[in-house]
Amino acid sequence: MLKESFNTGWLFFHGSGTALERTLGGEQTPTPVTLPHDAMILEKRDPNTPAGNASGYYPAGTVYYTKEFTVDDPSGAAYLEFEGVYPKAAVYVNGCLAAQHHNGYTAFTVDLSPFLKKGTNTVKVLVRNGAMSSRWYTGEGIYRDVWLLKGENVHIAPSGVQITVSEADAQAATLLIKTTLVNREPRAHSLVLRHRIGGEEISAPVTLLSGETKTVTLRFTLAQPKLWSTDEPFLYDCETILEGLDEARTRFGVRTLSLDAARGLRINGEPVKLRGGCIHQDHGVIGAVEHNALTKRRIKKLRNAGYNAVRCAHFPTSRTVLEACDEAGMLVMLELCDAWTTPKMDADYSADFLSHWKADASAMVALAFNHPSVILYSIGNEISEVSTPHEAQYGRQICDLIRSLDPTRYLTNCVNPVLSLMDRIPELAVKAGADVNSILNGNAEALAELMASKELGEPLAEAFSYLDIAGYNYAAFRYAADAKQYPHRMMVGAECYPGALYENWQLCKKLPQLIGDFGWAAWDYLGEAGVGQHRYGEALDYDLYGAYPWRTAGCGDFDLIGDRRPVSYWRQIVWGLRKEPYLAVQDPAHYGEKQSPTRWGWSDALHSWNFRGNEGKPIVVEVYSDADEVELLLNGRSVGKQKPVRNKVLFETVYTPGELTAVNLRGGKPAEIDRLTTASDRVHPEQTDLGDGIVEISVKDENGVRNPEAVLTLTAATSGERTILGFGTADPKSEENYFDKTIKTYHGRALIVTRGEGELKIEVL
Amino acid sequence: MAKTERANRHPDWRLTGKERFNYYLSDTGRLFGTAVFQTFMTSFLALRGVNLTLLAGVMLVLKMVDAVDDVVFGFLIDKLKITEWKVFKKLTGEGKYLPWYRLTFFLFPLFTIVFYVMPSGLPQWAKLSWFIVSYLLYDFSCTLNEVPMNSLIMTLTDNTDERSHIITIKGLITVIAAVVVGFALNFLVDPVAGPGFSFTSVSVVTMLICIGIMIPLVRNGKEYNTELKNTENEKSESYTLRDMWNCVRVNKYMAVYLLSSLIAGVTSTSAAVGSLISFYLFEGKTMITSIPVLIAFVPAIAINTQADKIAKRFGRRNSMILLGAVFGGMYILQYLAGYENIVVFIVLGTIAGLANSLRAIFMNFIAPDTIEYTRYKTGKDCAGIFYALNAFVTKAVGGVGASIGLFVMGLFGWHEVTAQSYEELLSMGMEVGQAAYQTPQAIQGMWVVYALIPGVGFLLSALILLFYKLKDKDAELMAKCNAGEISRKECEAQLSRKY
Repeated sequence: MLKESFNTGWLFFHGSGTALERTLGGEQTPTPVTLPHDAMILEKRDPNTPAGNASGYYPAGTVYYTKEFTVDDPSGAAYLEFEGVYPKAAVYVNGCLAAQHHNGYTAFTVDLSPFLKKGTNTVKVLVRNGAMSSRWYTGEGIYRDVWLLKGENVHIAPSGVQITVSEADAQAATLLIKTTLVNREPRAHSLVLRHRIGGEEISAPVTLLSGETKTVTLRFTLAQPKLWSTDEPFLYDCETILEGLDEARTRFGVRTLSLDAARGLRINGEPVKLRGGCIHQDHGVIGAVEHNALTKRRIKKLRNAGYNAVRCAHFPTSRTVLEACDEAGMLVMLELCDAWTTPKMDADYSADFLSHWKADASAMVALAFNHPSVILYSIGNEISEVSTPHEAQYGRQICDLIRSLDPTRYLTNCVNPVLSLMDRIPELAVKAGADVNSILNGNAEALAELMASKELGEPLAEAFSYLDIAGYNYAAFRYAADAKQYPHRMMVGAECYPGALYENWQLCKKLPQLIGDFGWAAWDYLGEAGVGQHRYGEALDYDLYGAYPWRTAGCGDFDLIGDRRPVSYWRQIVWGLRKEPYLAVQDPAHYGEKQSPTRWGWSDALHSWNFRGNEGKPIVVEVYSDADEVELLLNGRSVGKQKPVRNKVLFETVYTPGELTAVNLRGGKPAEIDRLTTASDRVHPEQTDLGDGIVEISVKDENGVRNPEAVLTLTAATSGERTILGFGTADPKSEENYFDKTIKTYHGRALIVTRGEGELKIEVL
Repeated sequence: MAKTERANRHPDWRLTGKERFNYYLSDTGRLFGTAVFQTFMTSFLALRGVNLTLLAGVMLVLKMVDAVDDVVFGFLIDKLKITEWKVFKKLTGEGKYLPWYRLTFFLFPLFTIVFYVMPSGLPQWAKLSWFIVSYLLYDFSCTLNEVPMNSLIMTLTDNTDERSHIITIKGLITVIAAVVVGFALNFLVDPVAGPGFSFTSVSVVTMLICIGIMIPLVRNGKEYNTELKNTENEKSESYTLRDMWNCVRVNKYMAVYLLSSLIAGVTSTSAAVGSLISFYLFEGKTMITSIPVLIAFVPAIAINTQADKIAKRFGRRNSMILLGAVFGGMYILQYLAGYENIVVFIVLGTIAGLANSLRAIFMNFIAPDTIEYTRYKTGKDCAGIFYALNAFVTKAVGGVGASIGLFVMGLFGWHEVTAQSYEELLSMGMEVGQAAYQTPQAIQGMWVVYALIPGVGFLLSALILLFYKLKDKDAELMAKCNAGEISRKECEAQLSRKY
């Protein structure tokens, strides 16, 4: 079908736009917008908003969009494809309800044909986000692309081609190409269906009866296929032609998956351990707006930092993300939802689970089907009720459904055993013969011992039994015990503390059943404000979140605007992918104070040797390294040598501006180095235009050295068609709005994202 | 708490301390047992009055047979999974190499005893026949024991650090075995300083001890890495003879390694004379050859504990070349300056002993690297065939070395003597006309065999290693790739050069 963007020419309104509302509240002045559009990121944050830290103190509400469009001939087929509307969308065409879609993350298609008329038509999309529906920042509105599909009444269904690789090796691949065909005419059609892949073609006659929707599966042999892998992510295009009536193009990859407890996960027969990270969908300064170039930039950056897998938590992600992963050779774990029957927020997915899980699981599979990057489906995140026999049955049903739709990928469930069994701790402790009183009095060691016990494994045995891979959230203490107790169970660290990677990775190497580790998080995100915050002094009472003005989670290997943090380099070294040492320096203003990050945090160290006002004061330098020994040199003089423990060493010295060098010593000989130089105060904002409207700003001195402590106030202005989508920094608790035109740099960096053609001018105030 | 700390010190290691200990214990039994056989063999045969020239020829033939049985066994152990045979499963338990070991561990001590109970009154042909039969049985049973024992390093764990640790400890055990055999056993048979026991009685007792300390591994051993993680297809491992050949052909580094071992082995003619050289050069004091070993004992242990650090600092290949050259150089110097000079003999022998004990450990470090290289290049595990070949080269050519030594001694005019022990030989008298007399030319032949030939051989062996160009860091990367921790592309990006 003819597919064209339907993103322009929309009007945006607050409220529902009903006659009653207009009567009581008066007419609004509409705001012209171009999609994708996130209404929430354009709101001012409110410390008292009900969603609180979960949304990063962004208020939620009800909004709607309208668009007028002209139809010359309403007799053919026409659809609107929405890739994502958050949440609870209602689509009205010419005043009539054409579709409702509750899930804010799955794509849906609206059949326009029954409602269209010749001439001007109107579509309205109502989005109701008034209740607390999520534990993280969701965005609000039509935040992904919308497409208009037009064609004949006999056509290939939207997204109607699914390609299954049933077998593949270097000699040949067997493809099963399933095509869904629609005949809306009152007569039968005998047609020819063709598929072309890489110069090869297959065709078959097909008869569509009157009013029939039919699936046709053809077997296609691809000789000497180029296999898709993380190293060489080769993609094919399949051109599908319904003779004289319709065409479709489908991108896919050829690869095989295998899994066993002796050899772990293999792709095309090659063993692969998942070096994974969890990501949410928002793009920071532009909120949840789906952005092709920013998505590709993110996936590419993660890949370059050593990741070979992402877990798209905790909802089905977008087509754009999967395309970026396909191209970058990034493996993907898709996830269905964050709740089943037990709510985590007042109006979260649990309210819709029973009535919608089948449709949502099917939509997730449909999204993934042709993407070789997707290897795993997660049927839920931290569903506490999986430890109860009755509730665990939902998991079995979800697995059965997904397997019936797609038997080629693996199923997991990301279970947090502590959370699942929290209410049963006393009972299980007695059963395990543990000291109940110690545990209830907060004895962490006794609790850890109990958590690793055989008795704690049993309540989850059924919930794990119907999965291909048991997903463990923050439960590395069970890996070795469960590998022994359940030798056929495959496991994945589905969500893990960043600082635990060293030990976790040793276990990944040791246990073939354990196929990888996903750290939380790979990239900072909006909402769950302050979960990764850094604190000093003795550990405070358990305080998971940050109060206003915290906006981002404050965790992640990459900060909100995509700069790598020190923990990312440490991770890369633990994975064995970086030989150079990495320097990170703790804030000397807090010298002598205990570093107390949350478990999702790291130290406060920065890759900087600029600490004005601390000259002559003691300072702690962190060096990450896999060498036998590391030597630290300050202005050419040795500070000392130390052997890394867990790929990390700490040096104490006195801050003196100049040059700080870490030297890896291998076999007693100098090898790789990392160096920091103090930047001068004569700084300017250097702009790097990445294309597609993305401009990175770095505060640098006259020698091109970044100065993270210099703070510049910048203003941005555009001309022509160019508009600013978002302008801001990675500061996790800045009170600036991302729609502000004036901001202050943070750690010497800022990011601006624009849309449209025209000039962009950034100046220092 | 202490237990937790110990456990966390190497969270990535797969074996418990007890499991490693059992392996060491069993390996000790094997080393002691084979060392007893090898050390006493030529002296025992010489004192049984066997013709040395004839013996040299027979031994060469036996080594040809040995070559076949080693390779065949290597093939069988990789090809057959006896645990899948019901009849064996109950008897041998789980694993890849352990079942073989469990089945055969007691055989070589048994045949060692058979060899050493050879009656002295038999005619020449009967003695030779006894030797041939008992030696073949010993040799085959030794292979049955040695191949699984060495291959176990690969299957006990996939962690390269843990393997290095095990290899280091194995090296220490080798040193201890050398000392015990070189000193304690020689003491037991020494007619001057020791009680002068017969070879037969000493051998029987030590073999029984060896069997005893091999039992814990038999009963409690477990392999954690029996399945490969690097094969390119989903089929389980299966090997053809062509695969075996390719395994060695593809890996030029393995070829260099084996060639170096081959030259060192063929020229290890000292084994032919053993303590006889000491008996004739130093007036019946057979223990003199043990003194360098005794002196080197503690320093060797100290140095060997640092072996992995030395390897990291200087590189495994460079360390081996240096140590081989030192060993060879010391023996050549000994030949030139140590004849009937006890001090020089002992000092140079001590330095050479230290170098050789370290060299043996480094040879073991390199072996897993070449196996990982082969896995990386071919996707096939070749640990079984490699260790079989290695066993052949080290053991078989060691025998060839002894055979060559015996042949050279025959050429220099050695004449047969018959005695139950050195004590009896001493009483027979070593002066002209007495029964134990050997001509100066024969003694000179022994000296060439003892010092000159091994010295030159080890120098050559060290030079061959200049062609070994697989870097340690690259081998580690290949091991990671083989385990799936990093992809092939990521591995190649980090390799120092293209292999």
